[in-house]
Amino acid sequence: MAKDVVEPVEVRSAEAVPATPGGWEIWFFILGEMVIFSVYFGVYAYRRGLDASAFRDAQDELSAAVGALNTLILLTSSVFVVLAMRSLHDADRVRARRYVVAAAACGVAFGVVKAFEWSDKIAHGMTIHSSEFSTFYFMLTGIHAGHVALGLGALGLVWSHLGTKGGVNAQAVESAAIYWHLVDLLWIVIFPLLYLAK
Amino acid sequence: MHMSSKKAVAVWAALCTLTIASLVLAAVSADGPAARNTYHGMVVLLVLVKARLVMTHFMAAKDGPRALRLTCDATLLLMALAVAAPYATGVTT
Repeated sequence: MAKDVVEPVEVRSAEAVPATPGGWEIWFFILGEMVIFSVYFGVYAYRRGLDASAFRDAQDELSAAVGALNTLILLTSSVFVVLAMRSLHDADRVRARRYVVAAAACGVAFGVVKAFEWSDKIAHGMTIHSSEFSTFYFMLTGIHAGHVALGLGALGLVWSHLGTKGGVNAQAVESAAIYWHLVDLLWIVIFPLLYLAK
Repeated sequence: MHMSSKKAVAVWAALCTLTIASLVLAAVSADGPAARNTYHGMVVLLVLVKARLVMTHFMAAKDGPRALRLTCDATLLLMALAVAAPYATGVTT
């Protein structure tokens, strides 16, 4: 009678698979948001193709320099969030909170620049109904501004949480940081789409 | 997701440089359908590079499992295709 041969089975410890930063839930949300925005971008690019010259004329109303300024502001806010996470890892909560404040200040600066831009466009007769491009412009930048506001709320909660005594909910803080980077990432696409690609 | 401060600043500097580069390209690119399509192609490429830098380093996707990294890349590709497809198919000039 032949002996049963037991093949060696590869045993993978829990440490072998790296943990998902922030937990899988936030990534499910982030990637879902990106798919939704991809549809927005695709619809914009398609509609632009149907009347490119009209879109080009309307795009000339926008200042690429202002769009670039806002991009640099958001990129700077993102690096402050990374530095806050680094400080938290080094158990320096005070410094982490300062970086969170700096990131939020950049977020507010982005909102102020955007508000000035909108008010200037509206004063010059560019409203959400004035052309198809303006509809896309106000819709895309408006939805993005909503995300900025939500991100600022998340940063406020992180700042408050880091100020309390006791343990830090690392996953919640990482999730808020990842969400703030999404806000940055989306603007990285919106900026060239609306301001540069004419 | 605990990148060193030096590396974070280096990534930030690269992102800022690419942003300014796309602005300069917009100013110097010639007029006309062919030149515009070339420029749009470069812009999509720059966007893809910048978005991947943010996702990989700032969002720390590189620290996650392989499935996460692949899903992130696939989503970025979808986003790039959504923007570029109308140009590639000649709908937009």
